Amino acid sequence: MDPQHQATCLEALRDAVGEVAATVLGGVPVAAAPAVENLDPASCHGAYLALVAQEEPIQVALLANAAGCQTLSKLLLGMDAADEDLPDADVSDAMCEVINIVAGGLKRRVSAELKVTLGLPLFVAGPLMPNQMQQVHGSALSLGDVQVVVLLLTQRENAEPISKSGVNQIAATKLAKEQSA
Amino acid sequence: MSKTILVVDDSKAMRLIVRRTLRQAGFGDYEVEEAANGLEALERIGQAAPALVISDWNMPEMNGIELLKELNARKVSVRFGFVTTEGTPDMRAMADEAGALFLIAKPFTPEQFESALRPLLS
Repeated sequence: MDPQHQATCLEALRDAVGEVAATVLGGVPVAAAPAVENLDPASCHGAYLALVAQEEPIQVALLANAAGCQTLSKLLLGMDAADEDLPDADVSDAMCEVINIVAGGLKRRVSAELKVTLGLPLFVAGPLMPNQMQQVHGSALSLGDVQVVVLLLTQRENAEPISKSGVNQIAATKLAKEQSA
Repeated sequence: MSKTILVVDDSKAMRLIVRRTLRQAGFGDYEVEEAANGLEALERIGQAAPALVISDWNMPEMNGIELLKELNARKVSVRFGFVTTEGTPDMRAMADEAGALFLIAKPFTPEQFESALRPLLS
């Protein structure tokens, strides 16, 4: 994805998060937070959604720490922060719904420039480990008291196609050896 | 007219949000039933036809547009609309063609529910 489209997508992503905050999250205030240089593994709970933009596989994500995911899930469900914590399955379901709506908002905002197809959301509790083909662009925001990171994962411009990547090369070499044996 | 609205969505969170939005939009006097996919919805509609079906589009087992087409094939007459993440022109055209009465894109507001549903339920 070229830098201009990356910037367009990141801005659309931030706007879509703002729209979600203003509607289904009950009007929680959104503010830019200090930039995130290195993601803290403890802050890597969140929902990811894979999509295809102009035939390029990309992903969007909304990450927070575990307590932040609880708070956002409660906001989505119209609960009070002091209410009993939701079970993990409900947090996963709620966070997936949040990223689903955010991704829909992203698609709507960039559809004049980019053809986007949405995939399915996935909730992950654990650190993000992008591979060497992926580039991570992040924006830190606060949604009320919750610090979140909005991510856009794109393919590096100079990345080798997956068919030429190291893992596949090793597998192909092994297969060739087996066939010749 | 039945006083039941059937909400079809694979996300429990979204079913709760639709319930809440129905209340906020002034439809709190309707009983709300839930189904997690099109197949479950078919079964419920077969048992007692609701006044309205509000369905997500993308769901496992049977998605929303498949559900609407199946209802048409079975000649089941029920008011039907979509609440979905995507509202592309293609999807709107497909929904219209199958007889959907509205397509509300997420995120939605109680006002959008009120204006889409009031003419159907009054």
